[in-house]
Amino acid sequence: MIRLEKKGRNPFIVYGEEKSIEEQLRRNILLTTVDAMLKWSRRNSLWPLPLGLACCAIEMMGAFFARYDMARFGFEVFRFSPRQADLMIVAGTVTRKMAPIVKRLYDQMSEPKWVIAMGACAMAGGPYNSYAVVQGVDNLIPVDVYVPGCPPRPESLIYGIMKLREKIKQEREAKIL
Amino acid sequence: MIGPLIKGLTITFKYIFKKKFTVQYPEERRELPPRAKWLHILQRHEDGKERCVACMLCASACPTEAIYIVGEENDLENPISHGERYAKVWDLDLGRCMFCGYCVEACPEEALAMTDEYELAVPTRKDLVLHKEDLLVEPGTPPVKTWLGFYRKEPIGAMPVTRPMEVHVEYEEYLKRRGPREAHE
Ligand code: SF4
Ligand code: SF4
Ligand code: SF4
Repeated sequence: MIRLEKKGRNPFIVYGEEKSIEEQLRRNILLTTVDAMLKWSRRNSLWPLPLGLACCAIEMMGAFFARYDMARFGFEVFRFSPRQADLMIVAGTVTRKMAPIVKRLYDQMSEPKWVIAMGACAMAGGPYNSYAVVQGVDNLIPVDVYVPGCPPRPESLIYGIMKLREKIKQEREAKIL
Repeated sequence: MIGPLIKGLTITFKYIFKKKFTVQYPEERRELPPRAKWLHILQRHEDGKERCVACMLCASACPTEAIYIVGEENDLENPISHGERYAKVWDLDLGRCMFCGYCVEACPEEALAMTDEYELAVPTRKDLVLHKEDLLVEPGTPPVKTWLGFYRKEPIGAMPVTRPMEVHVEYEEYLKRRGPREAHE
């Protein structure tokens, strides 16, 4: 949230500084290097699984075509099979009938995987405060970045993905056993 | 076989020398139209007082009930807004908001306006709820054109203050005359 960032708060900082000796031992030079490599490769080749469920999908397509060409960042191809994707973009209204399918697609994606909830409907149900709509896709699957808008501009989505990259940059994956 | 290949490649090479169509987004931004409806802000008067008087019209107009307001009566010596009341809590839930602009249309004080700030991504659902501190502009910020501003002839920010400060004195006298509030009121 750029307004918060301007006021000196960055909500995307996930981890604080580590202080304990164990923590520092765990993060020795070898592991930090492996970690850095892993993170570098992951965040520069996020292949999205487009879950276009309603009108937001149109703006998602807009973000991927020539005007805002997301391939510039390495989000190269839409992968319509979940096995080859590592970023799920939930764009649109998740109805109760669609919910099991969203969950199953998420389960079929291979680790590591991330989720972006795009648009008011996917974030929190949006304008549809109704029995037929899941009130936020985070009731089904964990969400990493929320992109507000109805629909968000393609730029907003690209900004969200860049913030996701920032988040991946801070992840600590490699461990001794 | 060669024919179609050459035909296709001609188109490719023609586009190589044309002007680039892609917007290099983070470095270069497209100019949004003047009525672009993105993040809301709460404006201030020229003297730094808040414009919002907690009339709740925006919350009533909102089709998705994204706005939550708790109003409180102004302290007469040190008022926060020019009206009788000010918004103690003014929350906007971006998870519900669909940026329709009905709230801006409804606002009689030109307190609410929409900017072209579209970079709104947040990491948690809690951050989706923006509070008054996040939305209120700094004192001295030039006014943003609201819906009223588009349809009126006067300059922006020339909207008269609905309740001048003298009214407070009258109101105080009225309170004295009326006596303490009844329990059932
Ligand atoms: S957030 Fe708005 S644009 Fe996106 S799917 Fe819901 S109703 Fe459609
Ligand atoms: S823009 Fe529309 S949905 Fe958003 S707070 Fe205003 S009235 Fe509600
Ligand atoms: S309509 Fe305007 S003045 Fe009334 S509560 Fe909303 S923002 Fe404040």
